[in-house]
Amino acid sequence: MKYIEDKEVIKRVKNGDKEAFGILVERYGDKVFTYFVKLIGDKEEAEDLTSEVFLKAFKKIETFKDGRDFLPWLFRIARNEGINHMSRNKKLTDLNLNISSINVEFERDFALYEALLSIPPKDRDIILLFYTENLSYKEISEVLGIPVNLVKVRLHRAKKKLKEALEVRNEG
Amino acid sequence: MKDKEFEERLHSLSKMYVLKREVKEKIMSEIRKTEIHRKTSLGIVFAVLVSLIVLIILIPSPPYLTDSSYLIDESEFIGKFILYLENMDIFQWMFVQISLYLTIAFVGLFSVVVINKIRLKGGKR
Repeated sequence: MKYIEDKEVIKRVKNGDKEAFGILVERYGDKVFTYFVKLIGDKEEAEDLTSEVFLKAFKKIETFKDGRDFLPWLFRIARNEGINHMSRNKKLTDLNLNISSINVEFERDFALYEALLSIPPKDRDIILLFYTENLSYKEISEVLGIPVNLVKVRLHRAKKKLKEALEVRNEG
Repeated sequence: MKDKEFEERLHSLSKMYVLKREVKEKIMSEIRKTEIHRKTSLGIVFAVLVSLIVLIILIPSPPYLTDSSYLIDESEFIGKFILYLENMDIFQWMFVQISLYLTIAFVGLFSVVVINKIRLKGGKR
């Protein structure tokens, strides 16, 4: 099947072709879902949040500016949804998260994943955007709404916290 | 743990999860029932137009209604300008106001765009 670029798909959606939005769901559904699974550690909740994100993106598609990248815009919505979800479920922001409640398959490096869930969501978030979603610094700066240099600083701090959390677990 | 080893472990986080087909279909069935929000931009244009009209109506004191000639020196630039304003009719005065509002709006908009560009400036990794 011929590959249709995001901007062309969005143009079609803006012109009233709702079915074209399915291309974006197919293209980015797994990415948004993976982000939520790793951010909150629950597959069922991640499915609900992913649905919410795509519905919001569809409703707001008129505000999407032509010429910009769709993925950072989509992740901006996803991140806001994730933050709202975590503030509603305060237990997920608790540093002493009970790992037995995590409803996900085993990660390749479960110790690392466990440590990741123990660091504050703000730090977890930036690590996921960089290492799981493979977004560039510039794309992350668009998602977070902060300058590129600050992205680098925050990512460095988040990695430091994760490394410390991992070492504490290894020692214990 | 060495930094290099830690960096390698971080890449294990790239494992992806697959969103179930039924969830994707559920999203699309919801989208078929949903309308795109088009009211926001139209609402903003409408609000701006209304506030512009209200402002023009609520400022009914063009300088030509006042007499400040005894305060100014007609030979100076400012003095000539004030006299010019005083001799305007209502339509010219409205034109001046609209031009003023539009200039403020453009300067504001331009500043926002420039600030955004500066904030997001930076290269790809």
